[in-house]
Amino acid sequence: MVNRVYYLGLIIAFIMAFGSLWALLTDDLFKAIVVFGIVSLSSSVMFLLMQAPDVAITEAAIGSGITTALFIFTYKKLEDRKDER
Amino acid sequence: MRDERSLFINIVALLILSVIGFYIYKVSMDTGKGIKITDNITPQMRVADRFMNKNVIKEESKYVWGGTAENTSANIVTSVVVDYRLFDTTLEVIVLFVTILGFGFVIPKDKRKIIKPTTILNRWAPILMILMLMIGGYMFVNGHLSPGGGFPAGAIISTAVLIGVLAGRKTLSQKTLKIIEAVAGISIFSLGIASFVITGNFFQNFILNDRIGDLFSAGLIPIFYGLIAFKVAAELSNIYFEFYEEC
Amino acid sequence: MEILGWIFCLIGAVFLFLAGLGIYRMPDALNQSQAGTKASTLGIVSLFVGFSILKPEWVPKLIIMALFFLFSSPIASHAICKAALRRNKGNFYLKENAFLKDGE
Repeated sequence: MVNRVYYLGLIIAFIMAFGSLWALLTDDLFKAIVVFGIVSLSSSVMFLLMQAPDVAITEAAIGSGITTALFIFTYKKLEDRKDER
Repeated sequence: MRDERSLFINIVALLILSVIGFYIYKVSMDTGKGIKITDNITPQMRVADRFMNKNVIKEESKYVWGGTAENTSANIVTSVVVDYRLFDTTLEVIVLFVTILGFGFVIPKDKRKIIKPTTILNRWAPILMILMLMIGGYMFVNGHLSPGGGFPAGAIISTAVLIGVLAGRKTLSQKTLKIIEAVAGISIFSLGIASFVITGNFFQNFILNDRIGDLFSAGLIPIFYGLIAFKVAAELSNIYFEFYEEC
Repeated sequence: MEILGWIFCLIGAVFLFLAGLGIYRMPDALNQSQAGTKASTLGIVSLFVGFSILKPEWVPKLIIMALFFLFSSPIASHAICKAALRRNKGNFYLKENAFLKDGE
């Protein structure tokens, strides 16, 4: 039970837990979007440690690329509306 | 806690979490055999037992489990998704289509044009697009030999169109994308009907199989994955165009 | 011969860590992009050289990956700096020449 893969999984699980707590409690919206992308990438690495490479590739392509891009588009629209006032 | 209603909901959530936490503690302290919830369930009472002997068209056909992958694809995940459970995959494709359909009702009518931000981005973007299209195409062509498949390949190809939009180059019109998506969707279902006419079952491989590990093996599996990849890429590119032109 | 590959991997890891530390410590967007792209490029190329020594059959794919990173990294920093310029409208951290502190 004690081998290197176990410790790497433990470290990444801590990163995911603290990152998601920080994304909830912060005030700035842009930081939450970036940390959300980091949590998605860490979950992709966890999928690779569980020996499922197809799911890892799909999660990395969609979670870190497409979801973050859509969030940034929405954030820009909010900023435009705030600048008009 | 702002008022009494949110306090009640929080206490109920904490109770449910504590019950789940108790079971997790019990599993982690066990010697590795898992939780035994009940003892009196016979194998005939399982939910999966009713579906193992079920076919969509015929009543008396049975499904044979075990053995190697008979459709000669080296990737077991691909052969489960595209050959053994192709019915579920086509329902997933229908769900994706309905989700994209909902975008057309939400986006307003006034649009803005796609501007080019700087000259460096405008000139350099096609080189990156070529690399991304190469990677995406490699992934769905080798879907039955290595990890990957059609769904991440569609996501990567749509990212190539996204970087074109952000740099000011609109390479495809929206009408072309809609035609690609419709043709791919119709082809998937017409191949299923063709296989019903040729063999006798819906969505069965009717091309003869070759050696495991070749590029041209595994029958209809690369063709299905290619159609799924193009359909997903066309839908996601449509979303990017509408999002960019709206805000 | 394997020890040389591990040394290159170690150099690459140290430079990647220093890139992240540099982004944390720099005060401004323009300085951060300098620290990010320069140190990251060196770290990644050194890591790939170390991998190609340890496993010689991965060399063509690693060359394509390194080319992709070298193509896309300067454009990303260019776009970020241009957006930071347009957003701040010129009020940066070090406005004038830092050597002329006393007097002027």
